[in-house]
Amino acid sequence: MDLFRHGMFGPLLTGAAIATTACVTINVYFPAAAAEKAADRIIEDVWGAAGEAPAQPAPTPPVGTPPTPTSSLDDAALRAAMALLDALVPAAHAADAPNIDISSPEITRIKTQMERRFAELRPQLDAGVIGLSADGFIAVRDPAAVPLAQRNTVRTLVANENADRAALYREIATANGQPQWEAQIREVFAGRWIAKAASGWWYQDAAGGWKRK
Amino acid sequence: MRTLLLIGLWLLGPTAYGATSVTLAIGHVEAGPVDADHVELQWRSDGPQQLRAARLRVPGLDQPVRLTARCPQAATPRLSCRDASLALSSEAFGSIDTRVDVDLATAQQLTLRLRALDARLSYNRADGRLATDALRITGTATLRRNGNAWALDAELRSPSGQAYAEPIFMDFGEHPATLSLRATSRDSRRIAIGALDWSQPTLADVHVSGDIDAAAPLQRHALDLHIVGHALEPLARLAVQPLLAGTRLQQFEATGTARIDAALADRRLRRVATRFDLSSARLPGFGLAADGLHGALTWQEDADAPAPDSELRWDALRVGRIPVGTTRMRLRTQGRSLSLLEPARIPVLDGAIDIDTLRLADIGDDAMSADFAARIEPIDLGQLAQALDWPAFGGSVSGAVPGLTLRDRRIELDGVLRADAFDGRIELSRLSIIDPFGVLPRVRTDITLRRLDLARLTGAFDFGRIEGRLDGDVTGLRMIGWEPVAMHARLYSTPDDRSRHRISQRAIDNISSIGGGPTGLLSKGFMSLFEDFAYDRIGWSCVLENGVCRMNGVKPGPGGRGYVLVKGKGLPRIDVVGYSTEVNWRTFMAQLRSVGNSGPAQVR
Repeated sequence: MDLFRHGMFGPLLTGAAIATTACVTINVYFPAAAAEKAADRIIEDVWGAAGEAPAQPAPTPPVGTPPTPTSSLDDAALRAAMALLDALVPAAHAADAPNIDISSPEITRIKTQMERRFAELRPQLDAGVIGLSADGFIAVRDPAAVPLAQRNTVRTLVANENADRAALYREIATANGQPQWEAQIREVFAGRWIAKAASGWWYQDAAGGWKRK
Repeated sequence: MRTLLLIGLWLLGPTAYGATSVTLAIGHVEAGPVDADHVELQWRSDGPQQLRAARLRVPGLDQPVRLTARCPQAATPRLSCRDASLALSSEAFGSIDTRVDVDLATAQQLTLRLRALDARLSYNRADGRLATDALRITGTATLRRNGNAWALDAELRSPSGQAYAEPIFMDFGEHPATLSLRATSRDSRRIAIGALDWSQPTLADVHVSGDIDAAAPLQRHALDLHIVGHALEPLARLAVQPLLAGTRLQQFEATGTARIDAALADRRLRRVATRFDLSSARLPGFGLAADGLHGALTWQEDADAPAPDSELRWDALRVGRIPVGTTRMRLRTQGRSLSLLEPARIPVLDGAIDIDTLRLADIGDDAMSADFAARIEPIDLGQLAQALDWPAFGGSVSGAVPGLTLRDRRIELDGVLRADAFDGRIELSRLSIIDPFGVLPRVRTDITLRRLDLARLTGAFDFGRIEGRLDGDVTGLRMIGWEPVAMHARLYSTPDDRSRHRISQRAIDNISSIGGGPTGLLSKGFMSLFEDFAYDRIGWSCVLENGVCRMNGVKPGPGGRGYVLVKGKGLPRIDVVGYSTEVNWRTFMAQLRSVGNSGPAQVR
């Protein structure tokens, strides 16, 4: 109370804010555009020439431009402190051209596994038995088209692919030192798998309905 | 809303025998969700009665059903019919033919006897999770009802056809099945299952008994289950593998027999006891293969009352390529925890791993924790190397793991594993397994090498002879499938080593090829007179990241270019200088394996 009256609270708070925010990673933006490029590179590797060649040279506008901070501080005083910090330590910003690293050995391994599996997966995608789901995975779209004895084979194929995809999204987030990006990376991939799918393949729209490309 | 469209009605008068015959033909009838076309009902007071519906539409089926019911001899006033036939057929599911005896004293007192059932079902549910293909079901059943009480006896067989109920596919031609059921109810609310037996002699028998709530059978019940697996090999393939799809357990294989006794109440497992005798069991995802695996495991939900002791033993086990001897473990489960009752000795080659403490708590939870302590009785490195197909070398491995932590999909081992090898010491510390059950399990560790005798080491690895001592520090070594993918490694001559330092021509050739240099330079001309050379220091370092190894040596090369791998001493003085600073790790390893390459190097 006394602090307020004597007008000392403001500077103190700012000081405290600097002290505390200085320890927190700030201005970590999810580089959506870079993530799309990274996703495209991986998808091209996994699907090879099967996926649509860059028919649409201009990819869909990045999901998050201008970049949205993954965390935000709403308190006005803290924002002031942030501005001060920004002035003091401009380097605290994420790099101007943010990059997504996809070269970690883990990512390479998972990618190789997925590349190998694609030979098995492709006939099912072509036949419309398996489709691309809206959440970055694959799903059995038309199980009735599969003879009973093979339904588990298709189911296992889907389960294995999805286990790899989940690991891929997690490893990309980890390789970039931002484990909390996993869900965003998955979302970006979800869009890119569908965008790069060969025509004739099936995919799920946001409402969950199946559509043919 | 019900509509009834009458197309025709013939009322035939009394016949010569005094009988009455009525034929009712209805073009279209709707009754709630069901509607029918071309319905025909024939009634004769003393002859066969017949009901036919040409197109009966039932909700949930996209194809209409044809229905024929015929009663050859009806008796009144007690409504009864012997040997009636009821036939249903549809494109949607195939055909069901039955012969039934009906005896209906009142609506509350009846006997229904299914004398014969012959169904051939080819059904496919829209979501594809339930389907049958030419599935044949035959059988008999009797239902007796008296007021609210009833009793059902049924016996069904499936001798042929296929069925898929996700995730299980069954070919009944290969594995014929019989289902028999005895169930009673006093008040129609609670159903007592005297016995439900599912029997497939070539696979397994399942016996269920208990009570279920008729209104919510899947939610409210108290059941005892007994499963006897006669042949685990097909059972694992048909029933276990599909359940494990997408996990590293999915290729589970076993031969032998097993038995499970369980109690299930209101969708919760209360008690499980399982016994298995497997002549072999394999988990390729974890590199495990056991011969003669036997166990008796018991578990119960009530954590306050410990379950009877469990036991697990195997005659022989293989972990990867390492043979493990006969082991017996006595265990106790308690709620969600598992503990080892007495220390277990697991023989490995000529040594053993002694597990003193093992206790897992909160199994299946993120907070799962472990209490673990083990010691390694010295294991002969020569035998280990042989088992792993490594170059033969002597020594032994020992050590202690005083504890381990489970956290964030990681198993971290406390303590140090120590190998006495090459007259020196190799220590593994901060060993952890990342994502052990995931798609990509990895091993991470730090390695310290101290005073390794280079003469023995180079002898074992056929590298060319080097004499002297070697130290090494490897930090942050991360391996996927035993292949290093990241590390900071430094190998260097033991600093205070006073022993003889000699290096052979061949070893120089090989080290030169490590630095991207040529081989065979020394075997020409004057230098070929010397078999080996004195050296001052050897050193090599590698920072491995993303498949690329950034290399360095003991010091920068002449003029600041390259790096010195071998610093010579005396005359003739040989320095090996490397110039490749970044090499692809896989190429590099391939190069090391097949010695003899070319490239720029400098030999002075």
